[in-house]
Formats: sequence, structure tokens, C-alpha cells
Amino acid sequence: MSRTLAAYVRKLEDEIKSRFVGNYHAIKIAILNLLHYRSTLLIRAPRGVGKSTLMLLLLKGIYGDDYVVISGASEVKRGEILGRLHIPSLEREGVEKVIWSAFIKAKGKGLDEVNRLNPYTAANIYHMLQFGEVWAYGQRYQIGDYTLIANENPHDPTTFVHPPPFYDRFDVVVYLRPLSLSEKFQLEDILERYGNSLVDSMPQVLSPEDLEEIRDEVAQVELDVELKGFINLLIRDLQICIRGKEYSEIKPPALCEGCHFIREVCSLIREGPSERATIVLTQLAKAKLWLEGKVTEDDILQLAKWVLPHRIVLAKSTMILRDIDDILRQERTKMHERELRKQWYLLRELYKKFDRALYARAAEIALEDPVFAEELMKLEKIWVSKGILNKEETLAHYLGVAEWM
Amino acid sequence: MMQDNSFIKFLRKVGRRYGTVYNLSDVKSARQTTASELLDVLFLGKLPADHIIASKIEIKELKEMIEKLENEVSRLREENKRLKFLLLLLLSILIIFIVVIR
Repeated sequence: MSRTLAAYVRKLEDEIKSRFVGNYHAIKIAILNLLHYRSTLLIRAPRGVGKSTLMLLLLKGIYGDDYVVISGASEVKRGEILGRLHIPSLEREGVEKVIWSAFIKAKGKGLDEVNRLNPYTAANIYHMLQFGEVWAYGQRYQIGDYTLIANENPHDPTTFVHPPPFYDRFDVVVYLRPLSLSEKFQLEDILERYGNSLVDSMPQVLSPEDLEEIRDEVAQVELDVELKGFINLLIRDLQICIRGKEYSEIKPPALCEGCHFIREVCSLIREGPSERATIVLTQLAKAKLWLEGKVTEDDILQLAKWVLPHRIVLAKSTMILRDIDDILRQERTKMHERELRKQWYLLRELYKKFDRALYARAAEIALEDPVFAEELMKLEKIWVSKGILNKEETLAHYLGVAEWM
Repeated sequence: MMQDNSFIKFLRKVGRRYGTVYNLSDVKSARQTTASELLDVLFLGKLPADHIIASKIEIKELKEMIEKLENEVSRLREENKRLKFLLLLLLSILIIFIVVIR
């Protein structure tokens, strides 16, 4: 890790904090999320809490004045967000030449009030968010690396409902809360200090080249295999369903009636997170390790609070942030229980060779952990095909798991 | 069967923490029980197969189950009373009928 680069990142955080009151957790996670390739951030807040200000402070701190913001409005069309045809070339030469939009070409991109952008226009940038390139009229434009920061007020009456895949493409969602009494005084002081121009007074702390270098370094950070295991387990816990909810017409909680794992976290989740959640958590863990020199399992659970809310649909939900908190608390206990049961040791031994006593114990443990059960059932399939185990005595048979799963 | 992928590396690394011997009878288990298992232990005197750790949610669920059962019992008692009364009434009518016919 380059100390100078890390110092720049800390300076960026300080400069933003000196202009943005409260919501420090949001600033911290937003900065951390900037440190990996093709960073995307969504800021959610009610009106007047500072979502646009935070977006502009972040963009200005890195790109100076060299960034493009599109203000979400239903009349914003494809040409403005993606590109348009060069009509003279088409008329004179019959050639479809695309003039790519300033938004596409800019490294620093902002989408203000993204909920007001009509979903058809927003759909044009799905591919960019996924692969860092865009297509129009059969032509490709490779953007490479960029930073996209969007904001929305989900309770805005003029809002469009974007489909879940759109939100899934945002690495992190931060929620801003209104200021407390003392923070309001702080805001008044800050506004006075900067002459009411918080964004204009924001200096460019990092250059795009610095950011590129940081992102290169973060990408090369190696995470410990145990920490990778923790991330993968966490996400798998939130995805798994032995009844295959992803393809079922009936969803939890109705689908969970009579299921052995009805008391597990899986029964609380109607639609689990995508694999992007694993990728983003890994990137954030690498960024944290790069910036702070350490990252723990507790950090992963903290980071998950900003990675999951827009990627998960709960069976029953009153307030998503609190519900996610409860789920993550359950996960912490679950991980501890896994340690006590030494179950991964058992699985390792069973991978080496079949042992009936160990298998019996593993099957017992599997009844308390669907993710472990899933891995054990994979081994069972191999043992059944080799004639070591009868189909009728397998865990899969006991749990009634379909053959295709 | 062991291929050398990251998952196996994970199993090796985590597994190494526990040494090389796994004692089947010496496994610490923080087994979560279902509310019905807990009821068996509390009311039927069944010995738990493992330590029972009941979370607040389980206790709450247990209380709800007990409340439901109590409601059901009182409903059945009421019904029982009504049926007894009906039976007595029928018997009385029958006796009167027999006496009148004779």
C-alpha cells in the first residue's frame, strides 16, 4: 500500500466531513467503495437531507470539474445518456456513426434523482454497469474504469419503479438520515464558513490517475482464504433454499411450510442476493485491508449492511435496515456455532475418504445447517454413484431434496 | 476426490485449526432446538439429546404456543359443557316421552 495514496484517501474523507454534517458511516462506506474498479454508489434519502450534495462532493473531490451529471427526468432520452446517430454521416455516406454522450465518455458520472429517470432510458446503462462498455447501433464504446454515483428519494411521488436488476448493479446503497439538533447548528456553522457554497469550495484531493493507481493496488490485495470463506458462507446462507425458491411459483413463507429448515434465516428471505453481493463484499474487504491494514469478520458483517438492502427481498419486512441488522446478528451466532461444531474439518475428512461414523455425525450437523447440508449432499451423490451409500439412507432422501438440485 | 481449488484450501485452512483428531463424542454443540422439542423436554420429561439453548424468539414462540393451547383447552371445555347440557336435555326429553307413552 502506498502511504501517500492512502493519505490522499483520508484527506478526501476529511474534506468531505468538513463540509457534510453527520451521516459519517455513509461517507466512510462511500469512500471505501470508491477504491475498486467501476465503483457504483446509490445514495437514498428523503428530500433535503444532502444526497445530491454528497454525490457532488465525492465527484468533485476526485474529478475536479471534469465530471458529468444527468438530472433524472422522465424526458431524458437515450441520446443524452448513451449516444445518438450522426445524421450528416448517415444522410451523405449512409454510415451509422455514433456520437457518444458526454456522460458515457466521462470517468466521473452522476445520476441525480435516478428514480425520476424513466426505466427505458436507465436500461441503456445496465450493460455499462456490468461490463464497462456500451452498445448503440451495433457499435461498441469501451469505457474502462469509471465512478458512478446516483441518488434517489424512493418516496418521491414522481418516482419510477426500477426493476431489481437495476439496483443490483449498484455496489452499495447508503441511507442518509436527517440531522439532529446539534448537527443543525454544525451545518449552520459550516455554511457560514464556506459562504453557502459547500460544493464549490470542495478541492480536488485525488486525481483520476491517483484513483486508478489505488484501484490497481486494491485489486492486487490478497484476502485470507478464511475471510473469503466467511463472505461466501454469509451470502450462501442468504441464498440457499432446499426447495429451490428461485424457480418456485410459491415463495417463502408459504413455500417453507413443513420444511426442516423453517427456523433458518433462509425462511425469512423471499429473494436472496445475487452473486454481485459476494463480489462487492470481497472488493470492499480488499479496500478496507488496503486502507486500514486489517479487515475482520465483524467488518464484513458491518459492510454487508450496505451491500444487502437493495439486493434482498424479505418474506416479511417492516423496515429493511433493521431487518437486515437482525439477520446479520443471527448470522454472527450461526458462524460461531459452525466453529463449535468443527464441521468444516469433518467435510475435509469426508472429501478425502468416506467414513461411516464421520458421515453420520456430518449428517446430524447438516440438519442444523442447510449450507453444510448442500455440500454434504454433493458428496452423497458421488458416494451413491460409486455404490458406497444407498440412496435411501442419504440426507437428500431424508430431506426430500429434488434430484435436479 | 480432493481437487486443489479455493474451497478445498478453505477446508484445509479451517480444518487445520482443529488438529488432526476428531473425537466423535467430544463435539461441542450449540444445538438450536425447535419449540416443540423444548415442549417435550419441559412437559413430557424427555431428556434432551443435547444442550438446549433457547433463544428469546423460541421462548416467545413457546409462550405463544402455550397461549394457543390454553385457548384451545378453554374452547373445548366450553364445548364440552354445551354438549353435556344438550345430552341431558335429550335424555330428559326421552324419559318424558317414554313415561308419557306408557
